[in-house]
Formats: sequence, C-alpha cells, structure tokens
Amino acid sequence: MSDTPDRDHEDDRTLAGELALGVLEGEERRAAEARAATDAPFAALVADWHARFGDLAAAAAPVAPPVRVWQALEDTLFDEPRREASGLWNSLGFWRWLAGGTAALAAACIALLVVVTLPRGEPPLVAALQSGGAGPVFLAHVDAGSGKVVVHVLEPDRDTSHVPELWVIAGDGVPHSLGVINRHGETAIALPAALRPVTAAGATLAVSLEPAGGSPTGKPTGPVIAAGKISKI
Amino acid sequence: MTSAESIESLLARVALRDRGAFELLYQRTSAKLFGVCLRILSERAEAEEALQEAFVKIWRNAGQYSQARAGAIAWMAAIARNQSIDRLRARRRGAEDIDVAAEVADGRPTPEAEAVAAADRRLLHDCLDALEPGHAAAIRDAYFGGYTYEALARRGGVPLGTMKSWIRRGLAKLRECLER
Repeated sequence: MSDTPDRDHEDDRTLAGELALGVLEGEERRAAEARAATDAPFAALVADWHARFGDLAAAAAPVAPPVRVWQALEDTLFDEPRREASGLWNSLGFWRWLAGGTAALAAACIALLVVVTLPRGEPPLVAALQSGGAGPVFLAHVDAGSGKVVVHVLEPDRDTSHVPELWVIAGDGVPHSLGVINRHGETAIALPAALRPVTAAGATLAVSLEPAGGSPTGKPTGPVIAAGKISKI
Repeated sequence: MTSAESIESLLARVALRDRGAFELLYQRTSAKLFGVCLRILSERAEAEEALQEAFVKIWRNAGQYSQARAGAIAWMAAIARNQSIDRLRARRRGAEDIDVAAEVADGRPTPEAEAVAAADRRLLHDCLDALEPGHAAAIRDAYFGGYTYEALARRGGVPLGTMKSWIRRGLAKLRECLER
C-alpha cells in the first residue's frame, strides 16, 4: 500500500492504535492480533497504545468502593471459594461447609422471632439459610400442618438480574425446586404434596440465583447464595 | 512506614505473593479503579464485580507489570477498563438493543470528571482535546463504550468508512501530538 518505510511505520502505528482501542472486528482484528503475537516491533506499538489509553482510563474520578468488595476479594483469593458460579453442588468444600452446621447457632437466634409469629401446636421447623461466612441471609419456617414454607429475606442479594429460587435437598442429595421467592420481604410457598414428606427436619433448604422465571432445567443453574438445615426448635 | 511505598514497588511485592502488599495496593488504588469501572458500567453492583475481577487479575498478573510500558496506575486502570468492557459486551450480546446503547451513552464521562484526576499524566487528554471534537468523541466512545467501528458508525449515524477515517486520522494526530 505505502511507498516508503516511514509511511508503513505510520500505518502500523495507526493499526496498533486501532487494535488497542478495540475497534477492529472479524478478520481485520484476527490478522492484527496474529501479527502482534509474532511481530515484536508491532507488539511494542500496541503496548505503547495500551499504556497511553491506560492513562486515559486512569483519569477517571476516584470513588471509594464498599468494604464488601475487599471482603469478597479476600474470600476469592485467600480462602476456599464458596460462591463459584458453577459446580458448587458438586463441590466437596460446599458440602463440607453445609455439614459443618453453623446453622444450629443461627437457628437459635431466630427461635424467638418464629415463636412469636407462629401459633402454638407442633414444634416449628426452622432453617437459617446462610451464605459463606456472615449471618443468616434467609430465614425459613416450615408449617407442616398447612404444608407451607415461609421464607424471610434478611439480606437481599444485590444481583437484580437474577431471581432467588428455593430448593429442598433431602437424604438423596437431589435438589427439588420449591419455586422462586421474592427478593425482599417474605414469601409463602405451598409445598407440593410430593415434597411435603421430605421437607422435614434434617433436610437442607438452599437458595440459588436463577434467570427470571426460575431455573430453566429444573436443577439449580446459578450460584448457591445461601443454605441451611431444617431443624426443630 | 510502608505508606510512602510507590505503587510500582507494591506491585513488585504483589508479584511475589505478598498479601500485605496487596492489601496496601488495594487501599491505595481501589477508589481510582472503581472510578474507572463506574465510568464504564453504569450499574453499581456490576461495577463492584468488575472491580473485584480486576484485582483478581492484578493479584495473578502483577509479575507482568514490569513488561508493560505504562505507569503502574495506568496499567491497573487498563485492567479495570478491560474487565468492565468485557462485562459491557457480554451484557450487550445478551440484550442486543438500543436501550443498552442509550444507557451506556448516559454513563459516559463528564468533562468535569475528566478534569479532576488529570494531575499526573495529562498528555493524552491534552492531545485528545486538540482533535476535532467528533474524532475525539469517537475515540472516547470506543475506549469507554467498547464499541467497534461498525457499532460506532451505527451510533453516530455515519457511514462505516467515515467512522474509520475519523478514528484513523484521530489516532495519527494523537500520535503526532504525543511525540511533540
């Protein structure tokens, strides 16, 4: 295309800028990327542009992030991952954590709350559904008499692009959907007849984040954000 | 104490898996990087996620910094920008519609925000300002909106060839100006 080396160099610099800026598409982009991978002087031009544009990004006005970002980072980098987007149901760590039974303590904390809201009769079944480390995120009580489970949201998830879905996991370890719950406040769910016997003391209630309308597969597809065992109080 | 330590030196220690250095680095730079994420992702929750991802990358890739030609903050800001743009593009792929484009346009940087932090390195800004306004806007839009030529042309209501020549001329001018 060009007649002089200078001209070529000029074109290369522009091409490197286009690549760094991210405006190229399709074949043009693939060709430029391939060249950056093999042609060191060209790669240096691209790196130079990246640096220049980095300055542009760095000119953004600073805004202090909330503390939870650092906490999440620490969890992600320095602890066992607890909120992986996939495979959590198969993760040994997750089940070990569930079995660890921190829920008992939390269940005691909510006893008062449930006792004052429930009519006398059979001992109430409750579950405190917790996330990785902090306090309970959901409280649930199962009313075996009327076949209902009522879930209270204590700490709404900030992910508003998904909906929380409640699951019960009994002895067979298979999650069964109890339906989508509200992001705030409380939700009463009528237990399907088939799930009434298994939604009992010892079973686990869990909440996963699912696409609007609930899991499309009938199994949890998103991250499990909280779980806890049902127990009598 | 360590508070006077340079960002470069903190990054070098992070490359050696020094958690304390990482925490200091976070304290010193997270507000700046969060500003970058917020500028690109109008939704705060998403900006928080992008910030977290950016610092995961910084923790893992700090060793690559010495090879970069950028200032340490620019290198980190570029990582935050890239994470945010990835999210923006994924969102756009999910909902290919005008609303998203409009939302992004609203989230664009204000001139005031830009003026605020240009203290240390203002060269690229000065040079952008010297471009024809349309060319400079297209370059900013590409960088902070993650738009390709085609998307930029569509948004600007100009033919693809026109958009390409705007940006190419803009880049060439920037180059000249930066080397002056």
